[in-house]
Amino acid sequence: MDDFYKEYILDHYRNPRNFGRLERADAAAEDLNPLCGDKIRFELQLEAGCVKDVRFSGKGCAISQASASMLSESIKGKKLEDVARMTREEVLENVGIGISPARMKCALLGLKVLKSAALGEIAGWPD
Amino acid sequence: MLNKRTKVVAFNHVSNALGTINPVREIAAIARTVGSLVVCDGAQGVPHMRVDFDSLDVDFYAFSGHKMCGPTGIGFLYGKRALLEAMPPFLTGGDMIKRVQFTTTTFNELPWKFEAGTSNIADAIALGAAVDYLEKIGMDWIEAHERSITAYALDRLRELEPLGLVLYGPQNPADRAGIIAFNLGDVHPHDVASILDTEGVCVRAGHHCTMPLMEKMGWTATARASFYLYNVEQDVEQLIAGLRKAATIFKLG
Repeated sequence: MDDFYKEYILDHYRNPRNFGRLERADAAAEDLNPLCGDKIRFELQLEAGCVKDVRFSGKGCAISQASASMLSESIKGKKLEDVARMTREEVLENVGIGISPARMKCALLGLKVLKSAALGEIAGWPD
Repeated sequence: MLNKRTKVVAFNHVSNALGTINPVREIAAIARTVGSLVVCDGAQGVPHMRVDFDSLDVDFYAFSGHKMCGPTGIGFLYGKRALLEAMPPFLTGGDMIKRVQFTTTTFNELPWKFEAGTSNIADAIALGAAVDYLEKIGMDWIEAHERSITAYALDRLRELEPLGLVLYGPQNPADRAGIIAFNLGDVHPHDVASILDTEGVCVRAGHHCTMPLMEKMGWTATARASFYLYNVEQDVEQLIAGLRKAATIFKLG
């Protein structure tokens, strides 16, 4: 467990990357985990179907906030279709610490919100 | 909020979120001034203190088996006889009828009127055993024990205030049951709970099913330690040690 709260997790918690709101978002979504009160919003700015800029906002535990912060760093420049296809395994590997079953929802809340933003946007695209 | 249109005033005897022991008698008396019914949730009351329904003067009082060393899936509802007799059955099935004819039905007497179908027999027997167990230990002893360990825990927790520990709820141990809600600096209660977990201390973290309270107070969530008849001062020591560890990991103080 001492490994659980690694230095970089705390760093992302205290200094979340890409935190805030975009002036103009092309895609956005938010969700909360009512059990613990974690709340996350993702906003994306797109260019030629790729993520040009990203912001996330919300409140929550170190795991949920650090996971969302790392996620936001990992998607810049990515094709929106690839973002929509991201898996939980990728996110957990990125977070890089053992997540107990009780904390899995915290670690994956960011991904859930991000995918929902991406899928919502893609659904509106012409075939 | 209270006016002539108020039909029911419902509240808890002891707050599960803050530990506050509510002045049930006083609340009931105020409710009666507008002719309202008084419904009290005693899930956190009955397991922890002697409760005398007559002196509380409530119309209904509910409590739950699994909060008092009993099984899940069963509880009690106390109700004033005249009110229960005036109420129709809410479930149909065996035992709740006395006589059925083609055109009329006569319902059974209390309590069978509300006990339709095959009862939850095993849980009822187990709950009876839990009641016997608590009575044998003595509700007065349990209440005194909880009060003393809660007072001790409040004192010890205050030592952590320089690290950013914030205590919620009544500060006087006489006004609260064995429930202590708190936060530790900017550490999210779920992180506090995870770290305490590794130290063998089980607390609950989150909204405690009281989202409106959290919103009103502007709290994201809280951690909550609670004590019962089996807790000893050593458990408090372990809680304090675990919180110091959390403070170290999160570099507080």
